[in-house]
Amino acid sequence: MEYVLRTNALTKKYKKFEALKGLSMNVPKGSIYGFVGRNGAGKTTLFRIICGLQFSTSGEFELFGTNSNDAGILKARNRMGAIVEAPSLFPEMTARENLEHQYKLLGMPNYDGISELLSLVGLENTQNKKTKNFSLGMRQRLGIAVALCGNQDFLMLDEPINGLDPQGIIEMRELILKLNREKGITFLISSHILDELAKLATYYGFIDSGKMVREMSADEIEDACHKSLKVNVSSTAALARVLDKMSLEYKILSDNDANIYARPGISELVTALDKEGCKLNSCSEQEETLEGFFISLVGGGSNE
Amino acid sequence: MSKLLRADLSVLFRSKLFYGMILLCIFLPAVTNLEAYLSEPGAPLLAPSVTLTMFLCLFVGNFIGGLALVLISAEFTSGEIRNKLIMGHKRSDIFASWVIVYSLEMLIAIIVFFGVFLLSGIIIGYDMSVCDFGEILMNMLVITVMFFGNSLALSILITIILPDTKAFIIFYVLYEALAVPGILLYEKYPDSIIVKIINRCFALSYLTLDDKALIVGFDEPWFTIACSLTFGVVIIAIAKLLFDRKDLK
Repeated sequence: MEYVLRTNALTKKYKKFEALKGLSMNVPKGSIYGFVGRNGAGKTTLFRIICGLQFSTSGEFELFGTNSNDAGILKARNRMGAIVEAPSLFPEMTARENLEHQYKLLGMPNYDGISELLSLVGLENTQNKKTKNFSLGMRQRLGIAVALCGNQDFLMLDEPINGLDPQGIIEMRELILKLNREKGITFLISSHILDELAKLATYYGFIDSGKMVREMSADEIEDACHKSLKVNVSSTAALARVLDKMSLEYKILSDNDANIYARPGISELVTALDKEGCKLNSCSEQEETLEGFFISLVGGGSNE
Repeated sequence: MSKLLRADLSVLFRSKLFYGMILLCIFLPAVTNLEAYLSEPGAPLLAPSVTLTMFLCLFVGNFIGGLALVLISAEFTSGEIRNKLIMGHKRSDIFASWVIVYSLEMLIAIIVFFGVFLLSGIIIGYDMSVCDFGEILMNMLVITVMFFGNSLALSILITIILPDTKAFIIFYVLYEALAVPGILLYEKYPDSIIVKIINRCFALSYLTLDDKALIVGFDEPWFTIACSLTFGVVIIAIAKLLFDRKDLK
């Protein structure tokens, strides 16, 4: 598999506090990599190191195959864009002027492509409106346009949906999916809004206290978050006998409630229970969420 | 590097504060010349040029550093530096671009100030034959080097240490406060070489002592340039060292 970003035992110490403790991660090319962790887990620190804003205490990373200690890392960074905490914009400038400024920094000979970028992020009609008067969602989308100015093929977004209203969240999600599918841009997205991340990510990395707890694909997560059937019966003892005969995995929760970790035929189950003199009162399908999976990985405590 | 210069210059020339500074550099000499002429018609140009030396130090010197500070700290807070780094620019180039662009800002301010001072003097009707333009040019050079050290370099250093609005207050206080030891020491030890060197490092103490006038050549200009340039270079070197090692947000 080809990787856009690989980190190897990255460590970052601030005086006595260790923000990253030998973090190793692999972001596959073309993926939307969900970087999941609590506040203070080290997500933003990693972003800052990759962007060159901060220096790692030890360890290294590879960006587009270029080692962080090589001089070529400056050129490799040219192929990525990033929004860390907040998009980098000049509040007194319009959307177009902000993009023109980025073009100047990139040394582009002309401003061709700015209109396309603006329409790509849905800001083609903002005309003379200054960025300081933009909504948070508009600023985030302009931030993505700014990050894409040099036709980048890797974007790192730190909490891109924080503070957005529901409409803004949907627009941001659609934009990320569009850029990933149509332009093949690889995304590294950090977030602790896991339900939203679950709608986007194709790979996940779970970080806790500066360490990578686990990396897995969305398919692997789906398998791990296996579905269960929650049933309410008149007697769980009778239910247990029936499920044992059917060789199904289950967990008794109380005298009347149980979880079945399989998908038995309902009519078949009702008939079998009836034979045992047990009534099925209700049943509902349940699925473990990404949030639940994350909690099961890192425990329920808080870093804050 | 040229890309950075282009981008930084465009930010400078877009800034309303820059034009505010230019207006100040026009307003101060023009009005001071006029006011001196009206209060004593036929008086020599010397009178307003003493007042203007003080105004130049107090207001323009402060404004030059303040503007650089505001625009550079905006780069820190807006994430502009992050963009520059991601685009593959080296920290040393980013720093060099600041020094070049804001030195240009300083030069523009000083040239406009002196230009308006001389032009308004001619228009108002002062006797310009007393002016030695060679000495005036040398004075401009001395002031430029002094402002580079304790206005521009100091503001860049403070912004790198503390890149937010508090930096402006610290710069303002420091710019004024650094003049105090020199002035006090000069009163007590007027012939001390160390006091002489200290005074020549700080524009506000040097230029406000002994009623210096813009049209009268300053004493030992090259010595003054050497002192203040050394001070400026040391401050810039410290600022660069800190910026190269700084963990940015």
